[in-house]
Amino acid sequence: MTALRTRPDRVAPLDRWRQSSRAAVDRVAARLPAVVVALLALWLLAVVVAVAFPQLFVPGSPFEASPADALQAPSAQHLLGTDQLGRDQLTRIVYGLRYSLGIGVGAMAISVVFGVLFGLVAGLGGWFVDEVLARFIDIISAFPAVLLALLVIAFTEPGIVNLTIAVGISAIPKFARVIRAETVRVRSSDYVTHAVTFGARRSTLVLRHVLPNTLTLIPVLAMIDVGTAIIAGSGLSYLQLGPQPPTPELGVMLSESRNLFAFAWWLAVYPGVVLSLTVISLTVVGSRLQRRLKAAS
Amino acid sequence: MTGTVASAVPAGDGPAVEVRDLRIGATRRGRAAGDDEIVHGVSFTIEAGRCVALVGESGAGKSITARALLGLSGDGTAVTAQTLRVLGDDVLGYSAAQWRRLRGGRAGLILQDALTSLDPLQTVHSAISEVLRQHGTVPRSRVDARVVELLELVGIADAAERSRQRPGQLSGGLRQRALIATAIAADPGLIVADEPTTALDVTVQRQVLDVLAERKAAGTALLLVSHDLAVVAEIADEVLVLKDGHVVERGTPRQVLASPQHEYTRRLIAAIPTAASRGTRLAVTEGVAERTALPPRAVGEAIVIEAAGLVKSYALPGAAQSFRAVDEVSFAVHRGETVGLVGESGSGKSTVGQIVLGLTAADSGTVTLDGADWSVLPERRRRARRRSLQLVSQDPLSSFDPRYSAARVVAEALPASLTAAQRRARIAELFDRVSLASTLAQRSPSRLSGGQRQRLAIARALAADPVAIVCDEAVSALDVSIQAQILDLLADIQAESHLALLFISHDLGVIHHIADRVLVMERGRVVESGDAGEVFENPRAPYTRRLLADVPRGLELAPTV
Repeated sequence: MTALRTRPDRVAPLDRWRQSSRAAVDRVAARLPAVVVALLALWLLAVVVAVAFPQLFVPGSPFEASPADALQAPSAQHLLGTDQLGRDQLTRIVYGLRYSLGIGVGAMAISVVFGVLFGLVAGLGGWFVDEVLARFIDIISAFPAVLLALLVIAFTEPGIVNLTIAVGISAIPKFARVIRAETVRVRSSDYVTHAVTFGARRSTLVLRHVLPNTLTLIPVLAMIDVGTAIIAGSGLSYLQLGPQPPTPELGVMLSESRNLFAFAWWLAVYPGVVLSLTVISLTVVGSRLQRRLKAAS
Repeated sequence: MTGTVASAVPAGDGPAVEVRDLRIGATRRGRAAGDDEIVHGVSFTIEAGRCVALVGESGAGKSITARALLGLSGDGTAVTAQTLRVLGDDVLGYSAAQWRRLRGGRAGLILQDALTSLDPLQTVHSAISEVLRQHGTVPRSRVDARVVELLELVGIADAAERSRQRPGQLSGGLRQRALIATAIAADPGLIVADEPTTALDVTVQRQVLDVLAERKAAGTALLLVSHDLAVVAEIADEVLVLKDGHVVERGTPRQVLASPQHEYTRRLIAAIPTAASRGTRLAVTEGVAERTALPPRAVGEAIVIEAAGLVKSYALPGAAQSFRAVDEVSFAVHRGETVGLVGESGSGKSTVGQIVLGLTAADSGTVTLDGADWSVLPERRRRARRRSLQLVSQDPLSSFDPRYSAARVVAEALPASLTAAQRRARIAELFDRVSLASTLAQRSPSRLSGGQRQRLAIARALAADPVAIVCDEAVSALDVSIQAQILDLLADIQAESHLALLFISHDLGVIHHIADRVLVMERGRVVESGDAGEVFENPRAPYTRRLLADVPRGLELAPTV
């Protein structure tokens, strides 16, 4: 029995995940004072409200151009200044969050759905299924995320939906691996063995024990992944592979500001700050939630 | 104490450890220190070359007392004492850096679980040489030679070969000895050993005790923490019995065991299962000094489990021959009977349990259950009868779904045909049967004590209304007092319901106490079997004799056993 427990499979996948890519982030997140975490959570709340009801924050439309007001520095009238077409930047950022967050959440949904599906099938199936899926996942993850996304877009065309799909696919391996490892761990756990001695069917075992205990990992992993997906999405938008101007997506806005930076700094700084804050909030709050969840179990 | 400290004998003429009125309190936020005192004034002295042992139930404060000597009592504790001197130094005001220099250098620590105490990725060599380098014990050029010397010192054969292996590649006994080698690498004047032999089989336990005795003879002071009086009696010069952070009794092992003064000590001694305790209760209630008889039970004629010619081999990577984990094992368990399966770790006894339960398929041989085919049935047909054969394993917590409450754990094993009201009634009945308070029903098993968890595991097994239960090291992880209660509970249940028990354990005392008949397994083979009293008193197989010779003898001092 003790030999079983020392098998590498028994290392909690969550731990492996943390060790591999998130350890540094988690350490920083764990040390942040509660006030900072609370402020970040508040920011996140504001972002969510802005996505749902942008009218609450800004009265105008993000597409309303007014050439007379082009490239104005931040002022009482235009809190974050205006762009080259005289559009109010605050309005564009508030509406822009819709696109950026939408891409993030959409991509995450794609990675979670397919990652969980592959992970479960690999973990529950026989060794052949497991091997085939594992190699398939290896192939996907052999491509750097951005390269993979470029590939998807190259076969289709730039646009918000294709971008979301591209970013989503690139994160599938991450979820598939965690879920597969967790499935294997739960499947060979003592409590599943005991359930077998109560005469439970295979389907009962999976529905009653394996699924619930495996899927508890998902929400927090997903939350952190939204942050990663937003960055990837904005990055590709910046390369003009996603939504096209005049869409007020934050990556697109950053891209447009490139040539104007010398005389209109606000066009680069504010979207960048909003984007960074949102991603940092998602990561830190997610990491803290994960920590708390782990402590509770 | 500056410069090289390589001597086993502490500087100065004083004792190696001097503790007077040691108090340890938990300092929680919002409370003053001392509000939650765990250890209330413990005093003892250890001279060089002597051994003091702390014994008591879990939660008695013995571990934290021992760890306080090395500055390891943990965050959130406050240690105060009139005197706390370790190897001639007043350690009360030690800084973290001073503690680090003390630990691993002049004082070594040995913990129960060598597997988690050693870094799995480090070879034995690098684990030991790290200690040597850190404390500058020997010149760099001598490190390699010293590592081999140390491994030989703790009785590891092929030391040079073994030093290149990692903990995962070593057996339990080798691992525990490698851990001891790291603890003594810097030639410490003091060794603190916290349950160093718990959960080890007798053979390995014997090896570890011998190494510790050698260190003692070489002049090292030893502080031993254990719940096992038999182990303690063998090696200690002075025994302190702790209860709730108080020393209730102290003396030489002979005094404490032969004429225990405190009722608590008498209870601890009575709780140890041995030959003499057969047929009696191990857990002695307060106010009663002697063991009382267990209810009589009848062994029936009907055979419940019959195993014939079981064989199971595993392919070894890189080896031409496969490894025979179970080799031609046959036995029968009758209604109401307890059959003990005993042997070292790796002897194949757990595999036999798995085959009987139908969780592992045997290569050849058959198992019948209640006179009908069992092992040859396809899983589909076995399912309906699975509930009549249940399992109680060593680590109850891992056998519960972490999301489940205690009541739900039990409910899972109930037949699906019951109504909600019947379920509730049955769960309450089962909780009552294993003496678990009904108020614990909604609690998560992670918030139950070790004894309560094992009671819950038994309640769940009973919920399936089985004819037989396989107990796989079911009491091995429990301390003596809790083990006594669980063994008594099993005996009561068996007397009531005539369950057949297949009791797998490495603990000869437990088997001798509980089993009617016994099978001794060595490397997959049954080397001896028969009536438990007969086998233990007149062992015929050399292997059985060796096992019995390795059992700590300390208890023979006690008149009651």
